[in-house]
Amino acid sequence: MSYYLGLPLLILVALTEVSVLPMFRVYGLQPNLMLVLLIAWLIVRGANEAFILAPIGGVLLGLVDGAPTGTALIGLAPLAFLQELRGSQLREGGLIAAIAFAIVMSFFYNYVHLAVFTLEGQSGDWIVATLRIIVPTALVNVLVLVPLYGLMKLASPDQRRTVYA
Amino acid sequence: MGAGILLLALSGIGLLRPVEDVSYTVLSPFERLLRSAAQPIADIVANYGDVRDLTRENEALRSETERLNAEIARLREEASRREELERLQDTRNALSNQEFLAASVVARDPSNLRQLVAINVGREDGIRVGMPVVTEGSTLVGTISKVEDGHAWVTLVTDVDSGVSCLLLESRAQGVVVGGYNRRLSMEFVDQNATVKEGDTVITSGLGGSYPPDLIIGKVTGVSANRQELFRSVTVEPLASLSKLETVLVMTSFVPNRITSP
Repeated sequence: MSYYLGLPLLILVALTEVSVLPMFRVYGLQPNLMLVLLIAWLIVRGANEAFILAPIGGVLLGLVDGAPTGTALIGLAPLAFLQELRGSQLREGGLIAAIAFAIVMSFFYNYVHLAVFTLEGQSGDWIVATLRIIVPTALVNVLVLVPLYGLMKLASPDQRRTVYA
Repeated sequence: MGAGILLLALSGIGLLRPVEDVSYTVLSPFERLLRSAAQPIADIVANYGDVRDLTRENEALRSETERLNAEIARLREEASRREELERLQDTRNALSNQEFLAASVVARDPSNLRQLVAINVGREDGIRVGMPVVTEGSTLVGTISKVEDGHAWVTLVTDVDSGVSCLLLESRAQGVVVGGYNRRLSMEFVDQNATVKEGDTVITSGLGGSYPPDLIIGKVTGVSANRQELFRSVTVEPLASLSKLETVLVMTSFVPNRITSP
């Protein structure tokens, strides 16, 4: 995989998030597919690609969602920063690291949105939002992450070499 | 050569018939088996030209079937769309004192924290923030909350930030319908002495100037009877299918009037 595949994939995922996934919401929830994809990408493919793709994904998502542009970008920013701090450890952690990262990032991503909505003047209880939306969304994200991580690992040539070596 | 002539002669006078009978009895099942196995191949060989024609015909029919299926799907979609527009026209007629602009839902906000849909009309079409959005049956969908040149975002009534002054059609009891993170509506500030029962219709009251009166919001599905609380807690089911919205009407003639305290 490369940027040639990554960029169209991010565009597709951004569009899917606003058009297709809302049709398949379970209990009103849908996964943060862009976030999950970027986490899987980061853990499987490493820093170099994710560092570029994460901001692009944030911008793309910001262009198509209803939140103020930039919210998604801020929400996804730690993907790049954490990779800088714990890059090799994250990759070595494999699926477990990806799951842990997905949970932490789901909270961060949604709290960034909540903060922005609050700054916009929106009412809403953060505790209720956490219990009813953010925690279940984190679980949904993990459920989507597991197969996506597997697929990405299979589709990644150097990972295949590792598997078959 | 000699043996052949001998056998031919013996066969001619009937001396070989017992041998022929036995051999037929023993071998015929194998022969039938082989023939049935070889028959399809023989048919293909014999009808090679026909097979080619049939294959071509089959491909043509298959492609025709695909075309017709696509046509059926298109016509069904068109019929469904026409039915929806007819129902919206009824709404338009019912609220003849208002002007509307029909719009299609083109996207939904992916955040689970908000209940927003994007529609394909925007500033260039005269859409302004605060305009109410309805669907068939004069049912309130939400309000325009963000306007771009070519599209606009509608905050649905179930959004946590939505609040609509309302009343019960049957008892005229007043309150405010608010959304929540559970995607349900609740009617708040309902007087403890008000008559509220399941199935009552909740409509907009027009108080506050943000919405026109008499738009249908939903039906009462639950009423709490805790006398120790100041207000009754009423749960409301929205009548509009908010998760399946395709076409909506923006009430372009309604100018929200944010009434402030004197």
